[in-house]
Parts: sequence; C-alpha cells; structure tokens
Amino acid sequence: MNLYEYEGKSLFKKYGIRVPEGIFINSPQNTGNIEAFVEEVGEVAVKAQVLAGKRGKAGGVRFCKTAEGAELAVELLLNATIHGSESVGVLVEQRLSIVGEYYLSLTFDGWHRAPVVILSQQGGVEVEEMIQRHPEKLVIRPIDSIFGLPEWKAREIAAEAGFREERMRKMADLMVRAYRCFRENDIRLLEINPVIETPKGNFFAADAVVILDDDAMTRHRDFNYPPRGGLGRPLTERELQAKLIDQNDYRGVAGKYIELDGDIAMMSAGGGGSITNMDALISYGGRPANYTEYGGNPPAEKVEKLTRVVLSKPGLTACWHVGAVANNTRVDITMEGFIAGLRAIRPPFPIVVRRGGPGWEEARAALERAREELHLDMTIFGPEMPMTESAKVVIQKSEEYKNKLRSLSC
Amino acid sequence: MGILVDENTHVVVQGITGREGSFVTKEMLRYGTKVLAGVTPGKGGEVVHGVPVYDTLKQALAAHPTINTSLVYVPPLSAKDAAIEAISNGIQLINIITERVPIHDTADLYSYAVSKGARVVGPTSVGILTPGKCKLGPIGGTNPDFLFKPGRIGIVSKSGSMTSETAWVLCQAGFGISTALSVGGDVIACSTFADILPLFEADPETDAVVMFGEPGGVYEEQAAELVRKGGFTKPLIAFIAGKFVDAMPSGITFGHAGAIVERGMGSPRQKVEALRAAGVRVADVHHEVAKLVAEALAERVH
Repeated sequence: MNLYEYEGKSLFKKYGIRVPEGIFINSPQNTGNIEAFVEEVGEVAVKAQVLAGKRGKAGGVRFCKTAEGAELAVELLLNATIHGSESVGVLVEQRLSIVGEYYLSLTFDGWHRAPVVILSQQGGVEVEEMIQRHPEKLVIRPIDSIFGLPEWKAREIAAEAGFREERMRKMADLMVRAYRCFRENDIRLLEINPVIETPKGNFFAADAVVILDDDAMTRHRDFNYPPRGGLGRPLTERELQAKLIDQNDYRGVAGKYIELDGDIAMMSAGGGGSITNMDALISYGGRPANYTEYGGNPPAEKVEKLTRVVLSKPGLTACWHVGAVANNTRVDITMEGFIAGLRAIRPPFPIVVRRGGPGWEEARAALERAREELHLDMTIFGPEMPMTESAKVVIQKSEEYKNKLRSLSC
Repeated sequence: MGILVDENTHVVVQGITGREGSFVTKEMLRYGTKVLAGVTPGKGGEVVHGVPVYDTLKQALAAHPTINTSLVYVPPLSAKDAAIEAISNGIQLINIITERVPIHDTADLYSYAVSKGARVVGPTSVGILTPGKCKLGPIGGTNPDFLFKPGRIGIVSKSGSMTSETAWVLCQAGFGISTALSVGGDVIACSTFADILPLFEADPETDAVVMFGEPGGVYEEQAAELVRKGGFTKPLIAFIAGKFVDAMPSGITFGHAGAIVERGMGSPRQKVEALRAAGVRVADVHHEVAKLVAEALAERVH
C-alpha cells in the first residue's frame, strides 16, 4: 500500500525525523486555520496529496506568501488530478530556507537480496535525472537484515557519499532513524527526496514516499489507512467489489481485478499463468477487458463473486476462462463457482475454457451440463489444448460474435 | 540424478497438521517421497497419514537422524521462524511453499541461510520434483506422473502453475524432465535462476533447461550474465511473461528507488533482450518453448 505524503510524514515524526510544520486539509469546509498558520510560519508550500510522482512539474505544488494566496491554492489543489491520481487533500507546509538538498531511500535490492540504503548529495531532482547526471554520486549499500543499521555503519555510508563532519553525523542520524521506521513498519520503500538542510544545519524530510508491505499488514493492526488503488487512478466500482471478495476470507485469492479497456473478459487462474495468457491474447490481436488472477485453492463462492464482477463489464464480446494444469487448486470446485456466476449472468457472448488439474474431468462434465442447461456458446478445452494456443480460439469467437451483432443491427 | 531432490531425500514437513500441509503430505507419500516426520508446535504425538508429528524440529531429528530436507508449509508470519529453526538444526535444503511472506522476514532468513551455508528454495515455491524419485511440495498436484515423465530437460520457474504447464507442453512434444522446480517470484528469492542453473550444468542427466521468468527484479538478467560468462553452457530456453505490463495504460507511477537498484532492468522487454544477447533462445508465446528445445537439441547433435 502506498502512503500519501502527509501519512508518511506523520509516521516519520514518530521516529524523530524532522518534517516541516504543516496542516492537512481534506475539505473546503476546514480551511479556517490557514490564515493563522501562514501568519505564524510565513511563506508556505501547498501540496496536493496524490499517489503519483512528478507532482511538482504537473503543478501540484504551489508556493504562497500570503494567507489569501494559500487559500486560493488550497481550493485549486483540493480537487486536482495529477497524472490520473485524484487528490485526497492538501498539505500546507512551512517553506524552509535551503542550503542543501540530498536524496535518501531504503528499499530492497535483488542484487544483494537485502535491504539497501541509497544516498546522494544531489537530491531534489527526479530520480531518473539523478541517475543520468550523477550516477557516480549515488551510494548504494546493502544492510545486513538481521544486524540492522548501526550508527557506525550509517556514518561510513554517509562519509562514502561525501558528507563531512557535522553533516556526516546528521545524515547518519537521519539514516538510522529512517531505517528503524522502515524496519518496524514493514516498509518496502521509504524515499525522502529531498532531504533539506536548513541554514541552522538541521535536516528535514521535505517529501515522503512510503510503500508498506501488504503481506505484513496482519502484524500491524494499529494501521488505519483507508483503502486505495495503486494504479495512478481511483478504483473503479468493479475493482472495489473485487477487493471485497478477499476481505475476511483467507482461503485462496480471488480479488485481484484491474479494469482495462478491451472487450474480452479474462477469468484467469494463477499469477504466472495469468500474465502469460494476457501476453498471448494481446500478441494474437485480442484486447483484454480486464486483468485478473485467482488461485491458492479458493472456495467456489469466491470464484462465483469474481465471475460476476468480471462478466458485469458492459460491451464484452467473449470470455476466456483460462489457467494452467493446476498443481493444487481443485478445478472442480473453482469451476463450480464459475458455473454459478454464469447461471446468474447468462452471458450472450461466447465463452472459451481451457484448464486442467485436480478434479478436471468432473469440472469438464459440469461445464458441459451447464452449457446445455443455460444454452451457452461455450467451448471447453482440457490439457490437450496448449494453454496459450486457446487465445486464438477466443479471439476468433469474439470476432464471430461482433460480426453477428453488426449484422443484427443492420 | 537430477538436482536437489532424489531417492535419498528424507523429508520433514514443518506445518504438517495444517489443511494444505496434511494434504500435500499424503500426495508426497503416494508418490514415494520419504516423509519421515512432521513438526507442528503443540501437536507433538499426533500422526498425519502415518507420519509422526513432533513439537520441535530438534525432537524430529533426534528420532529420525537421516532427515536432510525440510518442507515449510506454515502460515506467512511463521515462515521465517520455521526456516531459521530448520537452518539452526543443520538442515541443508529448505523449501518454503508459503506465499506472502513479509519481505523483511525473507531478508532475515536469507541472510541467515547464507551465513550457515544452507540452501533455501522459495518462498512462494510450488516445490521440487525429480520424476520417479521425489516430489517435494504440491508440484504436479494429485497426478504428477501425468505431467512429469522422466527425461533430460530441467525446468526452473518463478511461477508455480507455469512449472507444471511448461512440463506439460514439453511432455506433449515428447520430452521428459530431469528435475523441475519453482523458485518463486518474490523480490527476494532465496534461490535464483543463477543459483540453480549451475546445478543443472553439473547434472549429467540434464541436456537442456527451460526457464520461466516474470516482470520485475534482476534475476533473469543475472541468468543472462551467467550464460554470457560461460557459467552455463547447455542449451537454455526461456519464456518471459508479462510483456503486456509495459503496455498497460498507467502502471505504477510511484516509488522510484526501484529504478535505481534495477538500473534499466526489470521490464520483460529488457529481460528478453538481455537473454537473447547472451544467446538464450526466448519463446514469444509460451507453448513455443517445446519447439525451441527441439531445435536446440537438434543443433547440438550436429
């Protein structure tokens, strides 16, 4: 889960990481204290709270010297959409004087298979630009996960990145605090760009990018972050419905659903299989209406709910229910859920199924009965048909259906 | 031969009394895998499909000193503890089937495994199978003989379901399997393609290897690097899934440190390019891997 800047900063504060003084405003009704705040701190930065990068360049940050200016900027940015991400509020912050801008992040790295700290004296610009302009100034160092980041190690890393004397000590202190925050909150990415040095020599986190580990949420019952998309756009109605499928039911996974703009509904099983099949469909010229994957032996009810979500999208011309020869997912049970969904929706468009695995023969027989009973145009393949080859069949079926619709409308 | 598991693999299942753990134990026993013991804290003394259960791994080892392999089938937040328990007790091969293990936990257990010289495969592995000798984990499901015929092609895959699908595609083309395994698709994989390929290189009963990669990370690029440097000289056939991700309308527009650590790697297109540049045959659509294996082997004979 990605945190908004204001959420990330309030987490930072708990670890003694300095952040600029600020107020968070999430509706035009509670702008009352802006005037007093601007009077107290002087010039402010008004920042749209979005889950998108390159916010500054897109006009999502305004600097204001007066309360009136700040109020205007707040009004403007409260409903802003930046790179497809809708603002959930604005952060009004004291604008600090700057003598230095640095870059600090903590994340995981496949080269070291460990947490890494990334540090540079050239912060405050886009990361891509930083890599291009000053790759030699980026210091990337692995951290022994069990041992953690002790102060001496942080001092070494700061020194390697070119920080000297008091700056070195301050950066090391910030790094140690940031690492504790990263570790204790199960964060996958913690990025501060820029770290600001003020004329008094204090280091502040001027921005906060935090991605929490969804797999660790169950050990952070105290987290209270409202649900959100991670796609650079709000969740659609169907995506929200799909998310509910896995809530409070840990048996298997069936709630991954991303709406796309094509016309072939995807009911796909298995993570690796699902992306393999998306590739196959697209490479043969088909356009997927959604991405989905279910797996881990989910109960029939979950697959039924997912089927209803997937088939409810308007404008579908075919459905491809496809998965590899399963290892441990009981395909008779998952197909039972699919059939229940078909019974509820009764799709007029063609369906192509390709599956195999434990209980497949029972599943095939049940699908054949449902085809008869519900008068469906359903083509059923077992393992005898190569999985990705069945993409061609569903595309052909979809074309036939489109032609039929066209001839009917003439 | 094959790699990692064979008739001398003596297994303890950590988490044997769980729904999935007990089901998979039954499947493994039916296949002929030597499952000697199980561990579930608090359930010592129980018996699961004829396999005795102990409270601790130490007790299991005391009663069955030939155990050399652990299958970890515990809930996600217990996986680190179980794996470190196994490593601490000197188990040399640990296969973690558990999915959704927190990444900080995986980093801890990987660091510990490296310091003790133990090999961990997973998390999010579907298991390891050497046909006719040993099935470790749910790989192949209830009917592994249908998918995995004995033969001379190795499979190493990030995805579990695609391990079986790849075996099936090869089987239909007349190829059998030396050993197949999935290493999982997590950001930290305790065994990577580059860790596994040298084992296949050293295995006289493997003629070629098929690898299945996915978007993200640098493990496919590392495999390409290994081949380029001569660390793997047998024919390598790859399929990289997820090319559509590059074409997705929005994608993740957030979290740039990944761009630094991956330095222009990580996307399926870049992985395919790196592998092809190293001389690896890469299939455009998955079922074409069988044809590429046949081509590679034919070329080798001439």
